[in-house]
Order: sequence, then structure tokens, then C-alpha cells
Amino acid sequence: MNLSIKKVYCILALLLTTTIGWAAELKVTAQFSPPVTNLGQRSNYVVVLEGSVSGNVQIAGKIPAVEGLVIGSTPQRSQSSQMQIINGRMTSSVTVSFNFSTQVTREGTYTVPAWVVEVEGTKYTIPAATLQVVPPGETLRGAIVLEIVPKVETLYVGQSLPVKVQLRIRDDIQYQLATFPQMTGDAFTTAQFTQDNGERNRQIIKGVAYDTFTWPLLLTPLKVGKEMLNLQEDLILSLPDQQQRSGQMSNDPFFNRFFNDPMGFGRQERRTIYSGDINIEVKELPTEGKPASFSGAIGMFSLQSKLSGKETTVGEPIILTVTLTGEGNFERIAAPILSEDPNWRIYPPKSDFKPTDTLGFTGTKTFEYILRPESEAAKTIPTLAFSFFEPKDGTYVDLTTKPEAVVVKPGLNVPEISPSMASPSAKHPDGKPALQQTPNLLNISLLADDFGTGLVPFYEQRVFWLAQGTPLLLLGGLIFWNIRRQRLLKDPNLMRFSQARTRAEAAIGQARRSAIAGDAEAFYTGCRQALLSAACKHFPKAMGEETLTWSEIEPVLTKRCADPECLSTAQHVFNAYEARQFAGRPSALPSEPETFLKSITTATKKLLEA
Amino acid sequence: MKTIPDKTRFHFRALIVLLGLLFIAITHLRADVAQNLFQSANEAYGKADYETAIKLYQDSITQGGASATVYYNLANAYYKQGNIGQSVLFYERALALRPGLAEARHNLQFVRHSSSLPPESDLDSPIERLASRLTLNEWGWLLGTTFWLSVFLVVFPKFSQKWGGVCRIFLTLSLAVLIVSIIGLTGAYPMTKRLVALSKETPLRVSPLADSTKAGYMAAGEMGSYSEMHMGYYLVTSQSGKQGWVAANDIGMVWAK
Repeated sequence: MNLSIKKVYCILALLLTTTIGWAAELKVTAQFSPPVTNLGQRSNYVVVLEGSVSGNVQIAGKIPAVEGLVIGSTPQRSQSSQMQIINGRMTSSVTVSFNFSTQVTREGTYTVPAWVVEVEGTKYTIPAATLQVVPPGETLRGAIVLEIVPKVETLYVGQSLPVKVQLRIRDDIQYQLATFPQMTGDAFTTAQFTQDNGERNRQIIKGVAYDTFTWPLLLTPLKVGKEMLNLQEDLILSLPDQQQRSGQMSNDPFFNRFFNDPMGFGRQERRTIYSGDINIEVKELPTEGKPASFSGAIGMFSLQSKLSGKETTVGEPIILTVTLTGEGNFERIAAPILSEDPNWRIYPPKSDFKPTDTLGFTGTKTFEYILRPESEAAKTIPTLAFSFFEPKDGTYVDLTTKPEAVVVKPGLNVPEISPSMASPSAKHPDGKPALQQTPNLLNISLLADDFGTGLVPFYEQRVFWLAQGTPLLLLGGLIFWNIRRQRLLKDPNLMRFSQARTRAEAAIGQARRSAIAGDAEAFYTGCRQALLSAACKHFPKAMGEETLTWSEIEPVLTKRCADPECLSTAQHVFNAYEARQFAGRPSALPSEPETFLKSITTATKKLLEA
Repeated sequence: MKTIPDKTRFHFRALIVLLGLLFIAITHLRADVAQNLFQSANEAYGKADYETAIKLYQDSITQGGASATVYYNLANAYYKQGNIGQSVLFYERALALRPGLAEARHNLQFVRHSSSLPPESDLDSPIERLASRLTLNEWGWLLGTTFWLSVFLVVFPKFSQKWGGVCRIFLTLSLAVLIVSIIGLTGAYPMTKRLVALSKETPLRVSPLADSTKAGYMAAGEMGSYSEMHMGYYLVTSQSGKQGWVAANDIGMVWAK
């Protein structure tokens, strides 16, 4: 029984929620489709009712007359219905469109003002809608807009301002993004626009629907003056064929679109959309009232400082943490300056920035200073000077801190020491040890025995490449020698001639040495040997060079050497040798052995060359 | 056949010997001068006259050439003078010349800690560990030597069959060393791109222009490496990962550029 009652309650609840769903508000809109057209092309004035209306709903009311625009009195009606269950709640809505055909006789802008319509006994206001009739080819004018919002007219140099780059594309245009926007203008910091940092939504502006893409941008001017920046974006547009479109008879825009471009492809064209010149006046920061501590921070900031402890000993460091919170050009903010104090040794601070937005415009920047007291006279920590420029008021704000009292007790005599190792009690404000301990600085070296080594990379050293060239030459020589050797081994004659040349050269050398030593016999033997070795080339192998006589060599030499002195010198060599060999008569060295030897060398050369 | 007279040959040989002796004498003299300057610099350092010590150490390098020991002492003097950027640069140079110079490594670590600079990244990969065994130039020369040795050990057996077996053994060893030296050189090469920020707040600019905006800063002594150069500016990636253009006079190259 109880179960049946529960079922009844459930059914009643369902009916109730359904009823509530039906009772949802009626939404009434109006627009021209398409909102921009050419003279001669059709555009429909479409009134859409969306919500809980019955399927056969009618509208009663008079469309306001607009000069030059003729709106048909009998609309074409189409409808669709939708049912949704969200969190157990069923909602049903019906969308009914009334398409009024229109006609215009001249180019211009036609606005149907808001008017009142009665739907099932209730009055609703239909918003104004605008139709633009433009010359052929200009239907895209104003349909795609690339701009920076909000409009920026003036900025201070170095100021960072979060803005948005917006690309608006009229709803009736079929497109694809070929690129993401690109920004040009060397007076401003650059930015990258990607799919990840972009956002897409739908906007209705003056009765016209747009597909809108938005990218955040932190605009920071770098130069003073009237500066300009540009944006550009490439789109691939699907453009319908004009003739086909104008020839359509149907008033249904969806019908038109389907028949003109059934697959949604159309005639595709890549077009670059430009923002046009965006002129921004970049102002110099005022010099009046500029604090000495100003280091370029522009925005709105607050500053807090915190000490790791208020009591320390000489040589024992304490950490001062400075936190800068707010909005502005954090990227350009340098560490606040601590006033110089001989009682303190101040180490360069570490900084860390934690942004709270994607652009890094708002967030918290932290600086950590290590301060080491040098003497007990350090009674207060050095003051921290920081100021920023507030662009809204155009004034400087000074946030210099007041000296904070600390107690410095006498410490151990620690000479050259790292603040980190002075004491393990140097704690971070959050309780963690500040730095790892390190030992002291090691002393200098007293002996330098490695002068001459260079810090020039080996590949830039000439000596390295010379050293690489040497084995290369050696290898080349080795290969050449091997080729020559192989050739000689294959040709016995060539081998013989080569050996003859070597012997002739050696014999000349011997003769020269003998002349210096005053040994006439060895001198003539050497000269004869040189001539014989050179001449053997012209005789068969069977005739050993030792068997050759002057009578055999003379015709060969005469033929090749026209110099009579050469011939007589050569003959003198053979005569002298034979006189010594066969008659036992010793010969004296020639009066000018160098000239003599020169003639023999010439004769030998001629014989070898032939 | 052209022959050179013995007298001329003798004079030529004598000239070569004299030139050689002259070269040795000059080198020795320069090294002697460099040693004297080095000793004077040490004395100035001992008297806490760091400015004079720095000048004398630099003069000794000019006279005698680069030296890991002098670089080490110079780095100490710069640190004592409070110039962290130069101090880190010269410790790095000392280590580039002699990676095993433990004192330089120790003091570099000390300076980094005391100046709140990020510590040197650990040598994680085996290649980096191998590369740190020798200097870049040692790896280069080892590569050049083993390459040619391998080539000759391939070519030599073509001429003489007698030593073929021995050649094969040496070739295997030579090729093994060649491969190791290639790996070592691969690991050591990025060292040539290392640099040190010298100014207290070395600006990283978004473009290589003096009036360009500053994208961030490098602390004095912070390490970085460059990837390209344009009109006196280097595109630097700092140790903390920041990237930007830095003027050449704001940084010091560990290796000569």
C-alpha cells in the first residue's frame, strides 16, 4: 500500500516538474538572415520564438514600416522542439521561426525598430534588427574584426596593461582559422597567441551574431612616443557563389545555404585579416616626485617584510624576506634596495615570483636577503627602499620601510666565512635551514707550474690542424710510394732505370766527397760510375753497366748532349780511369773539380732524361 | 740534378738550430717573467692588496700563457675584492684547464653558497661524468691521435704482412680509445658554450638591442650558455632556465671566443 502511494507521489512530482518546465519563459529574438547582403540578393527578416509555446502558435502585431524596406506580410513558418531532462527536471521548448521575405531598392542600412507582438495573449517586445545592403563584393566588410579590447589610447612606458585580442567573425560566414593572431610593433613586448590561451564564445552586437575568439595579452610599451602596433590573422573562408545564391527562390536561409554549399565547402579563399594601425600614445614617466628608490615598478603594490629572527650574534646571518603583492609589471621589478650599513654585510637576494593570473600581471614576488651582522653596533636592520608608479593617479608611491630593531650579541671570531656556515641556526622564516653548510675559502696556490696551456678550444688552434695535416701528408706519401713500388715491380725495365738513377745520384755524391777529400782515384771512379749508371738505360739489360766502354757511350752521349765541354769531360773521366786501371798511372784531380763535376752532372742528367 | 753546396747546407742547419735555441730561450724567459709576476702577485695577495694582485696575476698570464693555478689564485683575489662574477668565471676557467683541481672546485662551491647562487648541477649522465675526466682539448687531441693511429694501423698491414697480428691488437685498442674519446668530446663540447654573468644584475633582453625590454636578470656569477650571437649580443639561457639576449661585456666566456 505504502509503495503505491509513493508511486503516486512520484508521478505527481514528475507532472509538477514537467509543468514547471513548460512554464519556462518565452524568448523572442529577431534578425536578418543574412544580416549583410547585396542589392538583388535576398535576406529574410526572421522572428524566432523559443520556449513553452504550442506548436500552432501565431504572432499578432504590426511590423514597423522602414523606408526603402518592404517586408512581406505572410511569413513562412517553421518549428522544432526539444526536450531535456537535467537533474531529474524535464524541460521542453519549442522554437518557432517566422521568416518574412524582404525587398530593398537601394543600398544602405535598414533597421527594423523594436516592436510589440502578442503571443497567446501575452505581449512581448521583439528587439531591433539591422540589415545592411552593400555593393557586390563588400558583404564581408565589417563581418570580420580583429582588434584589441578595451581600446587603449595612452600608456606609460614600461607599464603593463592586461587587454584582450579579439577576433569577431559574423555568424553567417563559414571559416577556418589558418593561423593564430600575430602582433607586430617593435615598441611593445611581443606575445604568443595559441589555441591553449585562446577562448571561443558567441556574441550578439546590434542584433548581429558573431563567433568570437579572445586571447589575453599583457601590453607593455617599451618606447616613448606615438607608437603603433598591428595584428593580423589568416582565415580560410568558404565563399558562396554569388550567381547561385541570387538565383535561389526559397526564403529559407538554411535552404539557401544547403543548396549553395551542401557540404559546407563553398569556394575557399585564404584571406589575411588586419587590425589596422592601433595607435597608442606612450608617455614618459613623470620626473617630478620620482623617488630615488624607483626602479621601474609600475602598477599597484603592497610590501611586507619579515625577519627570520630579532636576535642574533656577530657573524650569524638572519634572513629578511620581502614580499611584494599586487598588480603591475612584475617582470621588470628589480630587488628593492637595502640601505648601506657598515655594520651589516648584505648578500644579493634571491627572488621568486608566483603569478595569480595567466599573464603574470597579478601575483606575489618574494625577495630573500641574507644579512650578516659585522659588529655588535648593528642595532637596526638596514632600511628597505622601494617605490612604484601608480598609473591611474600618475603619482609615485614610496614604500620605504622603517628601520627595524634587532639585538646583535658578541659572537665567535669567525674570519672569512660564508653566512651559510656561520651558524646552523640561520633559519628561514618557515623554520627550514637557510643554506647548506660549506667550509671556508681555501688559500691561494704558491706554485704555478703549468703556464702555457691555453683556453682556446683545440679546433680553433692552428697547431692542432697542422698536427692533423702531418699524418695526412705521411699517409699520402705512403700511398704514393706504394703505388710507385707496385708499378716498378710490374715493369722490370722501369725498376732498372729507377735503380740506375739512384746509383748515378749516389756516385755523383761519392765523387763530390772524394774531391773534398782530395782522392783523385775515387773521384774519377765516382764520375765514371755515374755516367755508366745513367747510360745503361740505353742498352739491353744483358749488357751490364760495368761492361760498357767509352766507345759505346760516346755516340749515345753525343746524340743527347750537344755541349762539347760535357763530352770532353766525360771522355777525360774514362781516360783517367783506364790510365789508372790498365797503365797504373795515377791521375791528378782536375784544377776546378766543382766545374768538372758540374759537367759530369749535366752529362748524367742528359743520359737519364733521354 | 741540382745540388746544394755543403757550405750553404751547413749555414742553413746552423740557422735552424739557432732559431730553435732562440725560441727555447724566449719561452724560458717569458716563463721566468711569468713566475716572478706570479710570486709578486701572491705577495700582494698576502698583504690584502687584491687590486695589485689581480693586475699581477693577469700580467703573468699575458707573459706565460694561461695557467689553471694562476686562474685559481686570480679567482680568489676577485672574491676577496667582492667581485663575484669574475671570481666564478676564473674558477670555471681553472677547472676548464684542469678539471681535477680540487681547490678550485671547492672554492667555487663556497663562493656559490656564500653568494646565494644556484649550485652547479650534478653530472647526472655517464657521458657527463666521462667528459669531466679530461679537458676539452685533451679529448680533442686524444681523438685526433687515436684516429690517425687507427688509420695507420689499418693501412700498415697492407705493406707488411709480418706485423699483421700485432697491428690487429693495437687497432682494436686504438678503436676502443677512439670511441671513448668521441663520447668524451660529445660530453665536453657544450662546455665551450658556458658563460658567467659578470654584472650584479645582468639584464636578459628580449631582443639584441640596448633599448630592448628586459625579460629578466642574471645574478653576478650565475652560469649560463649561449646558442647564438648577433651584433655584440649573445642569446643566453641562464642556469635558472631564463632566456634572453645579453651584451657581450656583461658576460665572460669560460672558453675563449
